[in-house]
Amino acid sequence: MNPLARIAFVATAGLMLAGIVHLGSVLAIPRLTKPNADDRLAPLVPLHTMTLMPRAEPGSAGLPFADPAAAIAVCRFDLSARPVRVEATPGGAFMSFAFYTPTGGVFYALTDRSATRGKLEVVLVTQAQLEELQANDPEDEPVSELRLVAPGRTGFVTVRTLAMEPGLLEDAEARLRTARCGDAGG
Amino acid sequence: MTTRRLRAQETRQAEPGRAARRWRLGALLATVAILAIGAGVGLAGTWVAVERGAGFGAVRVGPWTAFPRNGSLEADPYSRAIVAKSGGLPLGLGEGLSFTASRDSEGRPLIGSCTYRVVGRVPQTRFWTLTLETPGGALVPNPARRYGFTSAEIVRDGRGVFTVTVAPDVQPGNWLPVREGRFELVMRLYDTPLSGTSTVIDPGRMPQILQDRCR
Repeated sequence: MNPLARIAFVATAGLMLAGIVHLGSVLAIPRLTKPNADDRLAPLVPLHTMTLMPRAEPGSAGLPFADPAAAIAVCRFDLSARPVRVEATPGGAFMSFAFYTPTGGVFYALTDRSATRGKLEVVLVTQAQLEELQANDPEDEPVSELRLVAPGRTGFVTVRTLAMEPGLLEDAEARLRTARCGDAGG
Repeated sequence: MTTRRLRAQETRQAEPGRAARRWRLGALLATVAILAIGAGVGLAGTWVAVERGAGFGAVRVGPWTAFPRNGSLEADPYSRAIVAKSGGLPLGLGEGLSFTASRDSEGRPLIGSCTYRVVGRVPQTRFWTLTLETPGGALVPNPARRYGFTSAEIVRDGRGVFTVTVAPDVQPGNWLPVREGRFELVMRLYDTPLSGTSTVIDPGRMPQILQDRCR
């Protein structure tokens, strides 16, 4: 091979490999980034406990890119043992649930517009748990709860509500304190 | 006579050996070069893509950019990598949509030594908030403890147009204080019908960011 052909070969092969390395590393970042979103929340938020996050203020220990007009509570879940029920009472104000994978991808979100009888309620399940629940559902009455199949066993839920003026932040936080997260029970 | 023939044989045997060795060295160098180019260029490309925040699925309206698909599992791998690195939690598609501006309407970077007017309307939404953040997503400390405005706090004129003044020193009206350095404006629309479905938004529906003067 003459030197020019050799250089061309090395450059082409190198760039092809670069393409593979690039795509592979982009795909791997969410899994390899440590700490991921769930790891960051872990010291602040115990498993299956709805926890109010620190207010968004300069230098606060809360989440980056947080809205200072929003109060936010987080519940980390693990569906290994049983389904998890998330519930909150919007009380007429804006309130939303967002369900995240451990790396921060949203797999479902809803607002207080989806509330029934003044309550926002979701039962998080795995596919197997959903089938088990459905097998035990009474046949004569419709299922009233919203069942959501999570893409993995772990993740977290955020509950957001807005304080339209800074003075209303305490009211917003009080609304979040009524939010519950835990064993779905029967 | 015999000795000479022997010597000639030796040389003939040594020649291919040296060529093979040279070929092996060349192949080794080429492999090392290919691996170096592959790892170097590949990882550099990833770093640039993630640092520059160049995800797909961006919705650009004037100076504002939103990534609606970041609020769902349909986000592309680049956006997912950027979200994972940032540590922030994107709004779910069903909750709302957040627009970020790091440049003014004429494309100049937003810097804390200048005064800006954020003028216009907001697309249809139940609530919205406008927040001033550092590029890392932190709030900017100020004595007034004013980090943003909400749709309920803003005073609009008769035609529904509002003006927020972003400036380092006290301003009349809706004043959003800022400090030295680059900053970003984040407009969050909560419970908006825009979420997900529409990817084309009339630029007249989002506020403009106009630079006034600089120190």
